[in-house]
Amino acid sequence: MLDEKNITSSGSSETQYQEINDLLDKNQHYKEGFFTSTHVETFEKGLNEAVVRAISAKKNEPEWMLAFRLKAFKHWQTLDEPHWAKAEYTPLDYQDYSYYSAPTCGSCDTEEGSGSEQEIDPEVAKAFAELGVPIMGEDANIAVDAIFDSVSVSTNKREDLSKLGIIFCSFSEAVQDYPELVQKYMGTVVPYHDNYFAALNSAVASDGTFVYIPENVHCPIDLSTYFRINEAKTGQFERTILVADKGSYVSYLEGCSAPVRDTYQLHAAVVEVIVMDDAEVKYSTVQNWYSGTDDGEGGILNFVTKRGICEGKNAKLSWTQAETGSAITWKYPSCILKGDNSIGEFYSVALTNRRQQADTGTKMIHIGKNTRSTIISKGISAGFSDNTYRGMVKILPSAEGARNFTQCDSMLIGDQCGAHTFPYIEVENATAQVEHEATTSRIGEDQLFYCKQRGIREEDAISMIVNGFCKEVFSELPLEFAQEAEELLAISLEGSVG
Amino acid sequence: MSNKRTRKISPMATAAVEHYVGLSNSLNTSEVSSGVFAARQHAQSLLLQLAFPTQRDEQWQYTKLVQFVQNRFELPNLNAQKTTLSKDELEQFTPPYERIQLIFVDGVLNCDLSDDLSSLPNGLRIQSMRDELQNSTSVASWFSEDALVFSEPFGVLNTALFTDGFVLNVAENSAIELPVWVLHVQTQDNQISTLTNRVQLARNAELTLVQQFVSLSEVQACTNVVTSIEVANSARMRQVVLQQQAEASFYFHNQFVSQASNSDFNTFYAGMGSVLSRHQNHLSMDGEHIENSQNSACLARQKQVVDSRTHTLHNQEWGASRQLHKYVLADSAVGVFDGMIRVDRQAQKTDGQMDNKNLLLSNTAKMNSKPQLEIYADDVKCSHGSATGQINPDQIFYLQARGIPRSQAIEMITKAFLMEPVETINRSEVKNWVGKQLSNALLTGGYFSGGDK
Repeated sequence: MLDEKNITSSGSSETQYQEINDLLDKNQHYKEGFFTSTHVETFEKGLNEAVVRAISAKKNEPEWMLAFRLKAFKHWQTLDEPHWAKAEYTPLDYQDYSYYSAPTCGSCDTEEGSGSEQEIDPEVAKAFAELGVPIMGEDANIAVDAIFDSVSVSTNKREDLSKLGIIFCSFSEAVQDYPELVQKYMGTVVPYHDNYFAALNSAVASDGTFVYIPENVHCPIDLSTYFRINEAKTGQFERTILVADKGSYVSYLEGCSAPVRDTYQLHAAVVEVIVMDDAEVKYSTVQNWYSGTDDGEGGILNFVTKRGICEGKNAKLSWTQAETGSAITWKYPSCILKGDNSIGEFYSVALTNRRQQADTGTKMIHIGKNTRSTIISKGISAGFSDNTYRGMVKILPSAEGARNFTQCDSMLIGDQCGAHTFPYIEVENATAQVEHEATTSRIGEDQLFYCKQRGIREEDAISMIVNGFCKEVFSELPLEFAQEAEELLAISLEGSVG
Repeated sequence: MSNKRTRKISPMATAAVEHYVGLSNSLNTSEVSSGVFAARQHAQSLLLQLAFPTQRDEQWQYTKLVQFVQNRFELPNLNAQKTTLSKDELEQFTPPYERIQLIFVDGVLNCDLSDDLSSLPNGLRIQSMRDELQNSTSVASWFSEDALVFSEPFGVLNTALFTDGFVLNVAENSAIELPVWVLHVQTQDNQISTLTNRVQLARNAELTLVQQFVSLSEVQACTNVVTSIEVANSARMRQVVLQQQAEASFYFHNQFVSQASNSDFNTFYAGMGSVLSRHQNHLSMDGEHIENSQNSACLARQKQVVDSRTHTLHNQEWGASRQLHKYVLADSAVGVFDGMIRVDRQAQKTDGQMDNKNLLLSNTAKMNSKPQLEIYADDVKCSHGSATGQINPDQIFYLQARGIPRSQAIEMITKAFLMEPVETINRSEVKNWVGKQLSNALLTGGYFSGGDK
């Protein structure tokens, strides 16, 4: 990073400091924007078959995993970068990214994946401590898989969970330890040829989390993964698989952040969720990637494919997301409602400020009888940002008695931003009932006046009103997350009112 | 639609394109207007380059053109144009109210059946497009290369096969008392009628325009229409479009409407016929305090595809737009609704509302709905709603409890559902007539024969 600075600013040291100070001023609010310097092993920039093979070799993967990667890579090469989303970015140079980066710790044993809780680089541990992620298992109510660039550095509480038969480990470990499970489920919900970024992910998948909840087990604690992109110009390609067997229940949380960088960084994840008969999965995300400067420089490109399938009867999958970060978000957590009476839910708050662009929504594919889905989406745009809801509700002929309710509300703060709603509603069964509502408005002047009249500062009043606007979604988040999301919202809104 | 990369065109589509470019060339050999000649040429080059849209095109993913592309429609024989329609045959379509009438047969104005264009009420001027071309030099400027008409594939085809249509002007401060009724009759199999219409309302003018598209018998033909409408300051335009062509026909209609300050535009579309129909409004609100209302009622059964779409641009402050679109679909019919309200950064105080409601009468019918909002101004009130489903059993029960037979109850509820947008037509004689046409189509069109459970 420092090298780059030296190249770009040829002026005196004073102006250089000035630049840094300005940068810091702009990003004061992004407290996760620090950078951890530690020994890392990073691949040369560039992407070709050799890189794909090298990643696989690095992880000591079995033959079938390499075959999967190569098949995906071949297919990816035939595809064109999609630009249909309502977000503008110059085509990415995929050769300008590094596809593998991992902290190496001189003092630690280099043998990885031995199964037990491995030692962690103290610098990395410090970083997670600063982020407030309990990787040492200090919080009794949550199990954490911490992912730093391309590798999982720690997964705690595994033993406690394994007593219940729950598998909770990093994806790389799962490939080694539970190959038959990974082979059975990987690519079943999001096939490698699904889309451009899914293909890329399948080829260069870094790390992620693997969760398996056995039959009739109610997972007693929340499982969570924290993603951290640290190195500059690295892409993170996490692969997460979550399987909930018959009658089980799990609540899974996901958080993320990255240092302040002046160039785009790529995050292209694939998440697959499989929900069997009578099982329930609650998947919550608080996305707080670095969003770029006021001028739209840098930030994370969050191009994610998340999809779940309600395979069995009475299965339930619920996506809840609070999206406040990323320069560009391209994300549609979806539910395939295959089992009869299965339920899909999507609750989303997407807030964009400055030059952020978000194109997010969901897909609800109704296949089984009496399947139900609910979509509640709240979009808030401020600054110069664009916030788009794009969602699809598809009722197939087999989905007798399916029900869908969609509500998309958008709020505009300021007159330089945009809020858009692009729903796709396809109904092929007469007994289905599909409703869609969308509104766009701004914070009412009388609402603001009312609050100010009672001695509440304008900024607080706006924060209050916005929180009220999002309440329906926040109430779906687990407790600590809800609080975090509310705080994030307040911070992200800072400076949007003037 | 920016499609810079060369498209892959199927051999079938290439053959169709070559056929229509050939027709366009044959029209150009006898063309006297250099403007039209150049416009046709430009359209030909676009056709060759883009061909016809396929399912891969976002705007056409639900409206498949496969069947259209398989046909090779021919131009109407302009010289053999006599009274191919007898007064008796015309009688069945004639509305029961006083009107000014224009009759087009196979895409060409029939002067014998139409009213005398030299004795129209004060302030109203109507010309056939062919006559207008010979007299006016300004026509060429309508086809500048960046004209909106070229943004639509069937706008391109319309220009390539440009033949006839009408030009209608209403002078300043003139309110035309009688509705103008324009009937298009298809009488021959396998031909394409291309109509290019222009309607201009000057400041504070008022007009009611009824356009009706019918077929004489069970012909398989294609009608491709482009209607440009300019509504000047404070002018008021009411429009009704009825599409009742034979079941094997094709219908494409692109309307380009621009409105100036304080004007009011109200349009209603009823789609009943054709195996494939697509009616599009491109409405641009280029002034302050504009009001408009776009509504439709569509009925389809068997293998019909009925597509109705609106694209509304709020460009200035204080605009109000209203929309209600209703579909009743039976058998294996496919309904498509696509609506976009775009609110420009300048268009503060916009009030936009769009509703789409659909009733499916059969399990094999499909509805695809895409109500969209694209908003760049903060002080606006915009909403859209869409609902698709079947008749609420409680409603049927309620009527049955009052002694109404089940089948009749279903008919009543369906009819009431479909008639709601008709209420927005504000001339009672036109409203009643349109209502009758729609309810006839619904009650005698076989919508309920087998559907009684």
